[in-house]
Amino acid sequence: VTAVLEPTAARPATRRAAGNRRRPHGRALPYLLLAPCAAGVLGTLVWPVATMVVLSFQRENLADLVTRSTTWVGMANYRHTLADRMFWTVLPRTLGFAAACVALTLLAGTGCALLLYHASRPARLALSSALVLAWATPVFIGAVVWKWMFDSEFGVMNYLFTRAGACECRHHSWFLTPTSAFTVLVIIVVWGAVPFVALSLYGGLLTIPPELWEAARVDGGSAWRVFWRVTFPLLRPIYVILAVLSVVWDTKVFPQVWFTTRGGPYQGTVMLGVYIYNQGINDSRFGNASAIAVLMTLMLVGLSWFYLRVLREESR
Amino acid sequence: MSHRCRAAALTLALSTVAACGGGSGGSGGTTQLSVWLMKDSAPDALIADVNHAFTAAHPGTRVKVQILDWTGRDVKWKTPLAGDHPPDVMEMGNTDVLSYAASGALADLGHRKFDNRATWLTGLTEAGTYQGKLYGVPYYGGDRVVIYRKDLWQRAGLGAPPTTLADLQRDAAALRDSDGRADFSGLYFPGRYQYAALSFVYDTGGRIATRSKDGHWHGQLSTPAAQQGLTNWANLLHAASRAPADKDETGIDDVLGQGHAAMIIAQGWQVKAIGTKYPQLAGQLDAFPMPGTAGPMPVFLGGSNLTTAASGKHRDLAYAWISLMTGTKYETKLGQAGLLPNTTALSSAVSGTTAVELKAATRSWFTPTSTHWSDVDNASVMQDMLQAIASGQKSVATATKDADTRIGQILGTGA
Repeated sequence: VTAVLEPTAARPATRRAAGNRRRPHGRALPYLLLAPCAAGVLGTLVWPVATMVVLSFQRENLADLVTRSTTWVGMANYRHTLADRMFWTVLPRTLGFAAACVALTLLAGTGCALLLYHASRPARLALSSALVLAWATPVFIGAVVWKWMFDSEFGVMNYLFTRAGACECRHHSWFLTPTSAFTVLVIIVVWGAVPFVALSLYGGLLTIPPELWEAARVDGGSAWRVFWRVTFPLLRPIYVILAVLSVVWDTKVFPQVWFTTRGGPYQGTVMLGVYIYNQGINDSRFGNASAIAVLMTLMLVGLSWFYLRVLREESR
Repeated sequence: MSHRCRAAALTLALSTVAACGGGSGGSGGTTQLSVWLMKDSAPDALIADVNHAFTAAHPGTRVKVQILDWTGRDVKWKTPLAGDHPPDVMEMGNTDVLSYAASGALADLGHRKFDNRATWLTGLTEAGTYQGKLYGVPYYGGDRVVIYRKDLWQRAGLGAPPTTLADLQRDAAALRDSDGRADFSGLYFPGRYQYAALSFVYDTGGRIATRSKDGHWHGQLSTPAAQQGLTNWANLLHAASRAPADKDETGIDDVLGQGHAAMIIAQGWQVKAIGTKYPQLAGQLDAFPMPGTAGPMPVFLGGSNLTTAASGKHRDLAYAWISLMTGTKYETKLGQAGLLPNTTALSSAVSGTTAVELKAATRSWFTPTSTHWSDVDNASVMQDMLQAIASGQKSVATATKDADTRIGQILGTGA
């Protein structure tokens, strides 16, 4: 994602550099100021990604790793991946999962943002604190906590559902079937993603002059119509950014799956992140895992390109 | 974590191992031997004794011991093994050794001398041997016994521990019925507990997988013998256990400790551990060997082997440490501490639950010796099969057939 933002972040700096052309010592300054960030990006992003691309053309199994031998295999890893039935199971599953998560995240995020906007001060404070807390929880800790909450024997969810009379759920196993496990995963991912979306949209709502809504309401618009005809069009750029970012984040979902289902039951919740981890770290097929990661990166870069294009059109 | 971060983590890990690997540099005239052991293995005091004896015999050396967690151990080994300073001695689980030996990461120790080599537990020796060479020296073993609550046993009016599977099933059902609670298990047996469940396959003469003459591996779980064993297992579960089908053995000790079960299948040393954690039960716990259809049930022989890296800088010292640790003196102490010594020659030195365990170890089984078995394990093929049977989602016939297919796919394509 950092790479995606890079061109836009770099542009103002270059423009300023052009303006300072007459002062020789000033010409180096922007570059100096950029250097730490550039070094960081190079070291933590460009170099590892380049290594990953190189690895994807090598065999690199456990024996190659410990004997430090390099065997170039050309496109073999890509051919193997594209011919792998598991890859073609995992890819649509990942995209479907991401689509469901993004839709629910945006929906719940919109609801929370509107609630924040209209709620009384204490309620707003409580809600925004809760959102920030959820957001501040490290993803893997959140995943472990959710796993325990849905535990069949000790989990609070089964207790609450049973107490509320919704079902006789004592000892109900949420991770027994892929469908049920997926439901839990969607909840975990959406829970983690809603705060950012809600707070961003709330920020967007604050920039809209209230007179617009008043005028719409005076003209007799229902709340529903006012939202679709006034609020949504004004927030559209924010929605586009949030949608694309969410797609990227939810496609590469990993800790939420790894710390709860590990891809089970019956490999039914293996998504691209877990698939790559299994291939690379567990089965020591680093070349193959890199090839899958490259394919996934290309897919997400495609999406980001679409996002940049939409942004540019929006700004015109 | 994003895929980029993961790629970064991998590449960073591979290039900066010198910083976090077992730095065994000989600065200041002393040589440092780095020893990586696993959690819950030999007691700290015993390790300290060994190191004391070792440094006395090898002046100018220091031993640096690091204890690794079992979860995530693979990554912690791969990283230094690819670097310049691998640890000199590594304790590896006996199911771990094979793939590292095959990759060339470990040194052959076959030509060295060790105590009790002729009487080593065969399961551990096999686990440390690849293509006739010894890469992992048997360190200690562990197998599973039935741990039970004597007080609940008496409450249900039961007599001597069962000696056949049918007796066990009857006793477990009686124990369950003697307690009114709906979640109480006579024998708590979670569905994904593979190292206890697969024993039933061997009990009826079945196998998990075998290698044909052309070197290919074939799953054998759908053979009639194996299916019979798994049917026995499923029957026991339904008669005695109320454990969830989708859980493994994690936390099984707490289930017994907190009074939700009368029996569990667990490693012998856990009798003592549960007694320490739940002091009110300390006097009420005992163990007996898991009974089979005829005679004791074959047990999975777990345990650890000691290995040394092929690229290690101090291979003679590493050998010296390993031979001292696995020698008669310290293996006797290991046995007294509750671990299974690496040799049957020490059977007179152990008592109580450890003696029960050592006796059970004479009839043991081990996972298929394919170098890619860990891939089958990582893909949870066995656990998924067991869960499908335990939950009733699949019949034994369908579940075993599916598992055999998966085994064939994974071991067949393993490059």
